[in-house]
Amino acid sequence: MRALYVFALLALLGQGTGEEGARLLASKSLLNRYAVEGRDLTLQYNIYNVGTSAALEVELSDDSFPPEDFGIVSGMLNVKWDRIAPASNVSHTVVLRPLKAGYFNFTSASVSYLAQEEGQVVVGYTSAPGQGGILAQREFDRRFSPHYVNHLSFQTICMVIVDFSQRPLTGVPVKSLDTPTHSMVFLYLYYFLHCRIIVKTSTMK
Amino acid sequence: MMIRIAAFLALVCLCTGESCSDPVITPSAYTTSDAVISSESVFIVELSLACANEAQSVALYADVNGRQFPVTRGQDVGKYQVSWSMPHKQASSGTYQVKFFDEESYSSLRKAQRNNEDSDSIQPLFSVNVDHRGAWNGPWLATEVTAALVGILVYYLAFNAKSTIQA
Repeated sequence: MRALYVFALLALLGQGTGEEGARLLASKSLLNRYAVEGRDLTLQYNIYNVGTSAALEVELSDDSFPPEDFGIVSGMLNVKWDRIAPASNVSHTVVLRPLKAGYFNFTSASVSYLAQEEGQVVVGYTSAPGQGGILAQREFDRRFSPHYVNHLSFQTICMVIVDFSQRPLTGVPVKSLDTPTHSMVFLYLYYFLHCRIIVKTSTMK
Repeated sequence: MMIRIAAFLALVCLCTGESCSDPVITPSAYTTSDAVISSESVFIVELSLACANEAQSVALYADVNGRQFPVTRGQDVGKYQVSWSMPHKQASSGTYQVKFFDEESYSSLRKAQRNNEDSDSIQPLFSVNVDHRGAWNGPWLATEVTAALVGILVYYLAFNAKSTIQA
């Protein structure tokens, strides 16, 4: 729905001199649920030709990613198409890797094309995804990583304590040492609090 | 007379796409591997094309599993890129064959498709195989659940042992 508003705005802005000719609408969007430092960031550019004739020598150029902040994993940021037929669209994908965490303003890329053969070069801009946050690796891991080591070490500690509380080292079968800190209830309460701490700290800003 | 010459020259000039003989390609492919972070699976094939007849601006078209795309050109001569995306559910793991056609073979492919003829018989200029390992959606069973189950199991065993000893 939002894309529709953006296209309408671009259509108003990109008024050509005549009714004939090609008219391109371009969008730039992030195909990521989360932008994480050091992980792939997928960008998709879609260009639609809503004019009556083919757009020629279309060039898409995106200079909004400084090389020291974003590395390129795959794809090219400056590309061209020979022609885009009327009432058709093309899509282009680039995968980047953010090298720094923090807020980043994703701005527009520029599209230039010839609306008619031997016509003037028309320059337009894609839509901009806007400002987004790039999560630091640690914050993302705290929330989403499987925490294998945490769980494993906790289970081991629990089992050691349980073992010592159920079978004392003397070897004489006596009643278990059901002291408050060695009871199973306490252990499970402690485990519950441990998990709560993990969840709470991961949702903290 | 002049008009006829002009028309003839115009016709010659309209044939812009060059053909490539003996294409030599260096492809590299990327597919989405993490479905937790990305909302769609994307496939990118980048390649450098060198032709024996040193043709510079060869127009290429790609066909993947029945979907056709024009091939994007990079700033450098001979660099091309094809990319497409699909939802994670539809992007099954396996090998995707990307066939590349030049203008002539592409138009014969389209004609064959329009006439519902066998389009597999049209030979592509070259093709690239893309291996998609599938995007990882997170562990099948979350580790907290596994840990809880193991804990319950241990408790059950300990309780049993305790009852046996005490009984």
